[in-house]
Order: sequence, then C-alpha cells, then structure tokens
Amino acid sequence: MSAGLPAALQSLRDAMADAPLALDLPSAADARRTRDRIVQQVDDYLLPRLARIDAPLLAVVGGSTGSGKSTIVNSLVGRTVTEPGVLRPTTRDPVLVCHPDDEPVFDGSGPTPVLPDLPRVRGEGEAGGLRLVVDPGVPAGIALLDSPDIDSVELAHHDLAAKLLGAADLGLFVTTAARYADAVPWDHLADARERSVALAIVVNRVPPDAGDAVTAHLQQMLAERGLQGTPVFAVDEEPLRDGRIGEAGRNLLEAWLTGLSADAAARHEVVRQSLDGALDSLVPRVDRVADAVDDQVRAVDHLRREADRRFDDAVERAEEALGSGTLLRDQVLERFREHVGTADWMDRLQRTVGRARDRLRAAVRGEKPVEEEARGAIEQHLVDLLRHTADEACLQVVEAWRAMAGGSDVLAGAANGLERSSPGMPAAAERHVEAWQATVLQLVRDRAGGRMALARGLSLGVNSVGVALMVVVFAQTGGLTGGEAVVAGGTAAVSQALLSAVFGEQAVRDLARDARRDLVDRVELLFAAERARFTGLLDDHATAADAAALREAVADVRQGRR
Amino acid sequence: MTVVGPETLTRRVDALASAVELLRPHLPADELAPADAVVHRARGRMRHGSRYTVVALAGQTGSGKSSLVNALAGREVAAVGVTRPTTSRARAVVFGDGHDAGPLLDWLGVPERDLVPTDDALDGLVLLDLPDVDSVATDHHLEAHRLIDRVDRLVFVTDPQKYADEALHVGELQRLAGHEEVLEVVLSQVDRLTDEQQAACLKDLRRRLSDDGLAGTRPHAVSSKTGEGLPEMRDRLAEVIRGRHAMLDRVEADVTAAAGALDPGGRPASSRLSHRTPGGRPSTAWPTPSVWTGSWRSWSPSTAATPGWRPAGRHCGG
Repeated sequence: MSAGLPAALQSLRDAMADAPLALDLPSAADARRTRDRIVQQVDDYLLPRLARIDAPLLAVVGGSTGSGKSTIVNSLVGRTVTEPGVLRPTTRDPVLVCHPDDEPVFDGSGPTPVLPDLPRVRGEGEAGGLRLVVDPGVPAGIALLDSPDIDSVELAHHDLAAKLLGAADLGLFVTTAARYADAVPWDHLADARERSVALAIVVNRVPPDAGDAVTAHLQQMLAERGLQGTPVFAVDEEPLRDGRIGEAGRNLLEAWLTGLSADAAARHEVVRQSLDGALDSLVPRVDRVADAVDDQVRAVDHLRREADRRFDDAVERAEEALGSGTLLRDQVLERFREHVGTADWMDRLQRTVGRARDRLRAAVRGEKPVEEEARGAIEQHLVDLLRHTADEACLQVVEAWRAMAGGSDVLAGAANGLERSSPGMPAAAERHVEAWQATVLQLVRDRAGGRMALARGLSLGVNSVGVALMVVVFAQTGGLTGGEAVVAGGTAAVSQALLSAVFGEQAVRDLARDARRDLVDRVELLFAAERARFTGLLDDHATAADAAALREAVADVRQGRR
Repeated sequence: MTVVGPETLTRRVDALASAVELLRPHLPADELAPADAVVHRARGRMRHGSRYTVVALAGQTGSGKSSLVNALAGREVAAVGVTRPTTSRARAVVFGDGHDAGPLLDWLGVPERDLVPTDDALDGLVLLDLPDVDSVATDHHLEAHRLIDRVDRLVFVTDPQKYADEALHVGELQRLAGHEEVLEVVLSQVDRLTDEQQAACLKDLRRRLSDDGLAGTRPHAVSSKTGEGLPEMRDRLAEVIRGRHAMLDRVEADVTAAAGALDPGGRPASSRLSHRTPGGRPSTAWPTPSVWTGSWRSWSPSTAATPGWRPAGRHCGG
C-alpha cells in the first residue's frame, strides 16, 4: 500500500460527499445511502485505520432490539457498563469499553481518531455522544462497542448502528433463538458481507436442548448467503445472574476474545481482512453511486431538452403568428386605413395640401398623429402575442416536467409562478417591440436616402413609411383567412404598393426581410430569458463531470493500493 | 359498538361499489384497487354468514402464535419448533362440530384444518395460525397479509423481545389504524418478565400503539407456558363469538376505511392527492366538488342517518 492511499481516499471522500443525487429517481435512494455510508466509512474507519494499522481492534456489538447486546457486553467486561432493560429499545447512546492501555487510541485525542465526529463522553449523566468506559476487565488490544439496535421503531438508532458497524474491525452480531430469521438483521449482514468485515454471531436466549438445531440452521442460512465460516456462539437461555449470561456461554465468548487479544497475528489478520474488504468494496459501491449520478445526468438532460424544445416551438409559433396577419386586425388596420387608406392613395396625393392642413389642426388640438396610434396598436398586439406564447410555453414545460423523471423534484425547489411567463416579461417585450420599431424607422431612414424626398412629396413621414413596412412584415407570409384577411391583405397590398412606389420593389423586399429578421432575433432573445428560468433550475444538478470525478477518484484509490 | 345489520351493511357495500364505478373514469386503476378488493371480499365473506367467527393469530416469528393456538385448543394442533421461521402455511382450528365450515375455509383458502370438538363458549370459532410477518421468508408475509385482509378479527401477538420492532409497527400495525374494533394485541411470553417488568412493558407497548394510531387498543399479557392471561383471552374470544357480529364489524371497518380513502374531502392528504396536484392546485383529474357530493349523497341516502355510519379514524374503544 503506497503512502498515497490516504490522500486518494480523502479525494474520493470529498468527491463522494459532493455527488449530486437530488432527483428522486429509482436509483437515488440506494445511491444516497451508499454515498453517505462511504463518506462515513472513510472518516470513521478507513483513514483512522490506515493511520494506525497496529491500533487495537474495535469489535462492534450490534443486533436486534431485545437480543441482549448490553448483557453480552456486560458479561464480557465482568461488570455493568451498559444498562440493559426490558423496555425496548434500550441502548440509547453507544458505549465503548476498552482496556486502560488502549484509552489514548479511543478517547478521540489522537490525530486521526476512529469515529471522529462522535464526541466522547464519560459521565453517566452526559448524553449525545460515544460513552467511553475504561475497564481493565476488557482484554488489551480489543475494544467493545455496544451499538444501538437495528430494527426498533426508533429510526435514529438504525443510522447510528449502521455507522458504527461501518467502523468495525470485527462485527459481533447478537441475535436470539426467536429472532435469527428476522428479515431486517439479514439485510445488515448482507451489507457486512459486501464489505467483507470479519464477523461473529452470538445467538442468545437459546431454549434448553435447542442449541444444536438452532446453530445448525443458522449456519446453513449463513452459508446460503455467502457467509459460511462465520463463527456462531449459542448462549443458552437461563436466568441471568447479576445481569450476566451463564458461565458456559461466557467462557466460550471470553475464550474467543482473549484468544484474539493474546494473538497479535490473529488480530492483525482480522484487521487486515476487514480493511481489505472495505477497500475492495469501495469499487462496486462507488460504481453504483456513479451509475446513479449518470441517471441523474440523463434525467437533467431530458428535462433541459424538453424545455429547449418547448421554447423553440414557441419561437416558431410566434414567428408564424407574426407572418400570418393575425396582428393586422382592429385598430392597426383602422388607423392605417385612415392614414393611407384602402381607397385610391393617388387621391391623397392630389389632396396633399388639404392633408397638411388636417395634420396641422390635429397638432393644435393635441391629437396624436394617426401613425402614432397605429404604431401603439401594433406594439400592443405584438406584446400580447409574445406574452401569450411565452405563457403557453411555460405551462407546457411545467406540465411536461411534472410527468418526467425528476421533474417534480426540480419544480419543487423553484419559486411559484413558473406556470406563466415572468412578471417582468410584458415590460421586456414592450422594450423589445419599441426598439424594433425604432430599428424599422432607422432602416427606412438609412435605406431611403434621397427617396424620402419623394415620400415627403407624398406627405408621408418616416413614421408612416415605417408603419407601412411593419404591415408588410406582418402580412408577408400570407396565410390569412376570413374577412379580416381580405382587409389585411388589401391593406398589405396598399402598403406594398406604397412602399414600392417610393423605394422600388427590390428595396421593399430587402427592407421587409431585415425588419423581420430583427424582430425574430428579439423574440428569440426575449424567450431565451423565459427559458432560462427553467434551465437555470437544472444548473445545480448532476453533470457528466460529477460521475467522471467519482470514477477517477476510485481508480486513484485502486492505484494507491498497489 | 353499535350493531349494524347485514341489510344495512349490504347497502353500504353496494354504495361503495357504485362510488368506485363513478370514480373509475377519473382515477387510475391502482388507486381504486383497494376499494375494489374491499367490495369483493365483503361480498364473499357475507355469503358465508356469521355461523363461524374467523379469528387470526398474526405476528412475528418466534412470538409464540402456535403455542397460543395449542393452548387455546387444549391440545397440540400446531407444530412448535425451535428453528425459525416455523409456520409456513396458515392452519385453521375449527371449534365445534365443524361439519359446515368447509365452504368458509375454502373461501379463506386455508387447506390445513383441525377440528376441536367443543360445546363450550368457543363453539363456532375458527382460529387461524398465520405465518410470520417479519422473517427472511417473504412468502410468509404475503400469505399472512392475504389472510389478515380476510378474517373477521385479528389478534396480533408480539413478545417482550420484539414489541418495539419497526417491522411490527410500521409494517403491520400502522396499516390497521381505524380497525381498533376488530383488533386485539397481546404481549406473549410474559413468563419471562417480573410483574413490574410486565407492567412497564405493557405501558410502553400501549404508548407505541397509540403512536401507531391505535390509541383505543389496550394490549393484554399472556403466557402459553404458565397459562397467565389465557382464561381472559378465552373470555374475550367467547364474547366476540357470542355477539355473532365480528364478521359484520370487520366488513364495516373495511368499507368505512375504503370510503374514507376515496373521499377527497375525508382523510387527511392521501399521497395520491399531493402527487396528482403538485403546487396545491386543484387537479383536473378529480370530479368537481358538486359532482362529487352529488354522487356521494346519491349512493348513501339510507346510511347517512345510520348510527353505525362514522367517518374513518373516529372509532374508539375496542
């Protein structure tokens, strides 16, 4: 094992702690648990154990509620160090018992202590940590940790028990003759098997004469689950004396434990087995988490593509609506007709003088010039159209996401009001439309050059020419229906004729194309901001780099072991 | 409790069936399945009448269900083993002459049967020894749950080692909230405890039952070894049999629970509602409230005024 292993483990741990699994996909729950366990295991066990490979062995006594874990620990120590009782579950705070010589290793004072985040407490009254009991009754070289149960309704016990078992050099699993076939403990044994921790099993409370049958059946169950060779100790049911198990059972366990204590080589072998097992198990476990991160990446990708698709469609729909003449209704046409008229515009040409007078009067009365009103109507219609289309897209994305894997989780973390366009959207749309109209007028000025003189001759200002151009843009692709279409089409034809007369046909086509392109660009810009409200929600979620970082980190660990 | 007659109950089962049909276009099949099953079971069970009262002993492996069955039967009918889990198939013990219990047992799907001739107060009792609900043998759980759904009355057996297991409370008892009237919980193997320990244990168990939503259920101590609590248990069983309405009680509890689960304004936020309407907006999948109340009233006009008709979750006493 190279000196680089601890550093590689630390990197793996950090990558693991950051592994993004926020979406509730089918693989997420298991992966989150595995992620948290690996982080814990590196902190609690692997780094401390690698820092001191010769440290005393930590035997974690775990198992079901009511199986007599505390009684077993007390019997081994030879005095009551942890309180058994009839009320389930009993052991609340875990208790670590060690020999005085081993105290500095377990009291949490060293540089890389085992279970570093559990504060050590010593007094009876103190709670909320790992209670440390120093007692010469425990053989040197082995510490016993009385863990909370794995199966009571106190769910907090289960997590702590799993954490403690993750830090074990040796798992001493206590069950009873009534319990050994319970489903829950076997799930924990499967975990223990995955990381190959050295195991021993105590079957407590065995009825008279049932020891052989129970032991044989338990060994068979162990073998069926790949745990053959696990030592099984049957402890007969007999009235407890001073809260200790009977002498026969105690002798058996004590002999085994002191044997380990006296035999440094055997102890080292146990430590080695569990350490190698834990390191070996990292690869498949990290892979599982990385696969789950991949699932997250895929889900995020699907969500992002769905949002993109809906807003691309929205831009397309808006474009279609712009060209279909739907904007050329009501006031726009009214005002426009009033100005240039669907009647013979040449008439107007002949009444130039009268027209100029009319306008002067309008100015004196404070009336808005008609082209201003036409522009206002166009602006209102455009803003309405854009807001409506954006609302539609937002609702579509929300509904699609709700039905997609992980979509509800993303939406749950978002502010309200995603079902419609943002509150600032109409104002932004107005700004864009106004800017577009200004651009159209600018285009007219730039392109017109000397021809504006002719236009002026027609009593048409830049504004009027601009409105005419806007009408052409909206009528460009046709697709009009009904009576409105006739009016709009007629109006557009008038506009087209008017503009062609002033600029020439090719120039009008160019102008309309440029004006249209500018408008579409603005719509895209506007909708991109709305789309970002959705895609922005995905930015904190998993990326392919996260999964790659995990796989790289575990490869480094494998490298570090060589 | 108030005795509900079979006619009233039949009408309520029919009403539930029509509610299910009314809701079918609006709800996914899996959300209607529980109510469908209740209708099916209720009709099946009621066909067999109340000549027999079916009581199941359910519980964890090693809690001593089989020993209790033997103690109640007065002889060895169920195998009691030292290796776990023991009982893999349900076993029926029929108290009385039992010549006409066959069709009911066929409906229950319990082929293993024993007859215990008796002319005492337990005559008419069909006692089922169920497989465990918590061992590694998951097929046991399935068989146990199948029968837990069908029997008239349930006796949940736990013991001093296992009474606080998550598998018992979360896995089993919490699902039975609202069924206090058809449920009894016994703490077996109390011979392992001193009197003070027993009292403390029962108190702790009662507190946990209350946490499970079974505040009305008071656990009873029993030991098949010393016989402690057995006469009382026999008395309680005899009482149930004498009333001859355990079957109706069970059907009523099921119908009430199923109706409550379907009523969007009834039980507190069932998960399907919050699932279907994220963000709390009313889901379009539901019928509008006026349609709903209309159909609700239309199918239960006669039962609305019946004393036995109570919304789920308000039962008390046992």
